[in-house]
Amino acid sequence: MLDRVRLTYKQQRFETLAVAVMCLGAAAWALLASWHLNSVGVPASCLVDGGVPYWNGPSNASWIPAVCQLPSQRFTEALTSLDVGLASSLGDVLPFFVGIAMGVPLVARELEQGTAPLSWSLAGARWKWLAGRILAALLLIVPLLLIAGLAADVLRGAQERGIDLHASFHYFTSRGVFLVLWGVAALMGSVALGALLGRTMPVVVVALIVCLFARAAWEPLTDRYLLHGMAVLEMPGVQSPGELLVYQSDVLYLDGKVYTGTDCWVSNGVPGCQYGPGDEPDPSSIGPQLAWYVITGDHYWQVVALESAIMLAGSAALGALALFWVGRRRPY
Amino acid sequence: MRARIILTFKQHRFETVAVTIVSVGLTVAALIEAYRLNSLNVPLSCLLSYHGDFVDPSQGPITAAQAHCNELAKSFFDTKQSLDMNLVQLLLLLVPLLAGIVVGAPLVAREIEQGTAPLSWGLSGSRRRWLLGKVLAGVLLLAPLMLAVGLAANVLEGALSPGLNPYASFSNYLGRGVIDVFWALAAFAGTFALGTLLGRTMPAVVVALVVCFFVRAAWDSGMGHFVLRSFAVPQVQQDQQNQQIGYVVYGPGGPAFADMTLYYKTFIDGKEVTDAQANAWYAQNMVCTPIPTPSDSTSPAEAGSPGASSSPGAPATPDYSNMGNGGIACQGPTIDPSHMPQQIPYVIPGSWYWQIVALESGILLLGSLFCGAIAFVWVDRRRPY
Repeated sequence: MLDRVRLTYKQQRFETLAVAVMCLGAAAWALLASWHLNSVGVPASCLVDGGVPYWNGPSNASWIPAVCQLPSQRFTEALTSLDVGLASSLGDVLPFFVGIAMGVPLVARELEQGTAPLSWSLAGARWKWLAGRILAALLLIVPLLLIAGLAADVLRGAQERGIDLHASFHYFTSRGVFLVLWGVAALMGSVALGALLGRTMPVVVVALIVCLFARAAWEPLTDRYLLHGMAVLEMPGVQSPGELLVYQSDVLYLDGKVYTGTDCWVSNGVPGCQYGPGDEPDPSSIGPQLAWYVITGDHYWQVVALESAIMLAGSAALGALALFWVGRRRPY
Repeated sequence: MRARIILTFKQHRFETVAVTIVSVGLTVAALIEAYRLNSLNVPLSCLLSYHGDFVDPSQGPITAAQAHCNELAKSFFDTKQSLDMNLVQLLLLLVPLLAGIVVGAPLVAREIEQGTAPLSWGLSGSRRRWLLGKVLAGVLLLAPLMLAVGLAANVLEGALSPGLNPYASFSNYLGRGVIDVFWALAAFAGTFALGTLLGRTMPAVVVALVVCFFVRAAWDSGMGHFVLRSFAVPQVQQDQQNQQIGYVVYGPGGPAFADMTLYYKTFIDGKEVTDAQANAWYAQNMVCTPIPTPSDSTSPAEAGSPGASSSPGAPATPDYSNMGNGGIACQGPTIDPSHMPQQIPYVIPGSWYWQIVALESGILLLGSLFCGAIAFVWVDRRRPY
């Protein structure tokens, strides 16, 4: 098995090197961007609710104490700079790039170049041959993506001072262990597609489209079907740091209770009120409002574990499909 | 040449069919999304007055008319933020680049990789003529498809930002219209040049994806910093008002502007100053005197009353008091507002849309020609394996 793992790296020299360079480069870049943000040196006394006040130009900064204006400006400039912007978007792209680049040629190239019959006959069992190759890819991408994911965590921490990264749902599917999970899912999907289609370019095209849709649909779908039952009601005006807004209530609340008055209603998710003369509430009252169902930051690890389990199960299913199909298909 | 073009489409059946289906499908999807938004018939005034589901305390309970307006606006923004709309917008941004890469990568690289290049080159007489036929096939496939995608993206942009003329606005201008054709051609030329240099399909795809990602991500700021900066003009007051009234749609999806703001300059009494000097001015004149926040105050109206001044008896001054998220409250200076620092945005006016699109398309085309030239030189020199 060790020989097969080593041979896989040799056969896919370019992809192995490209993936290693990209992951380590992205991690180094994210750490540099974090250092760039941290080096601004915003004094702790300038933080508002744990975060650095956003600088909107001198004319909109009258509420920021004078001593904090320059650090706030420098921090905002660093935050909106190209290097920080690019580094933070890498978390959404890198795992798919890595998974597809490693997964596509694993089976498809052997079939396309006509070397599959020889490889399969030498290996004894086709599934053993593929398992060795998948293992080699996993051994490469898991540690590399973990490094990149941890660097993305550090960058998010520098971008949003005062949040506890492991008790906050801010961009939680674009950092940390999720980079590994996305990468493994993309790898398994690409291997399965390669076993089914047997051609490199078609697999690249289909894998890119599938990954794009999966990534874009993941959060709305998990909010609707997976996390719906875990969310708890949060009264209007209350907010906890790092919470995940799952869905909005369809009834109005006032002063912590359901509002039963007939002068206010909800239509298409929008509250409206029609008060009779003399019944108008106090001007300082916000009136009846819709509430949100949320998952608070202290449930971070439960949500991560749940979503991780689903992604790993999906990846395992795709891997099983590839192992099954490679045993049945024609070797060309 | 015609036979070579047809043969190229046949050789690259999968890529040709995939790019055609995705482009036509995306064009239809963008038009359907635009129709969905337009058929809501939401008055612009409702979009301008909509501030989201949560009614801000300062707005207080809303009236029936405002609620109806909000309901219409919410339908608009719900559609605008829906999953299918986001997917269509994302694909409109990515498809020109992906189509260029998918068509360009196997053009030369696959022939070399599969060992058919010596035969093809031997039969065609001239390697350059052989490559020209294949490149023409790619251009003939990509140009009309990307034009359709770009025009559909323009229609969608018009529906997403009512009140904005897509042909006189820089809102999302790099992801729609005729420039889509040039993105696709640049990605195509760059990728087949890489394929010629590397002679392998997957490495060409991988390098092209990385290069395209960085070029696309850096294009906006690179152009703004190095090319367009010298064309920027100060935004006149009338334009600023138009930005606020006629050409802006505020909402949860964010504002869309007709003009492209490149940078700001700050002036004090007509003299240009640096940011540090402006900050120093504010530090000197904008003394933050803590005042009670409304929650601490027995009378909220007193705390934030218009015309509040740090100097009792001072002449009427504008209200510069403001509330920070953490309850920091400051009051402004008691000086004539005309002597305060003025920030002037330097912009490319929306009416220059076609000139800027022509300039950026020209730069992309030059880049494409350069990459194409490298491929034509290299294909003649390289070994056929």
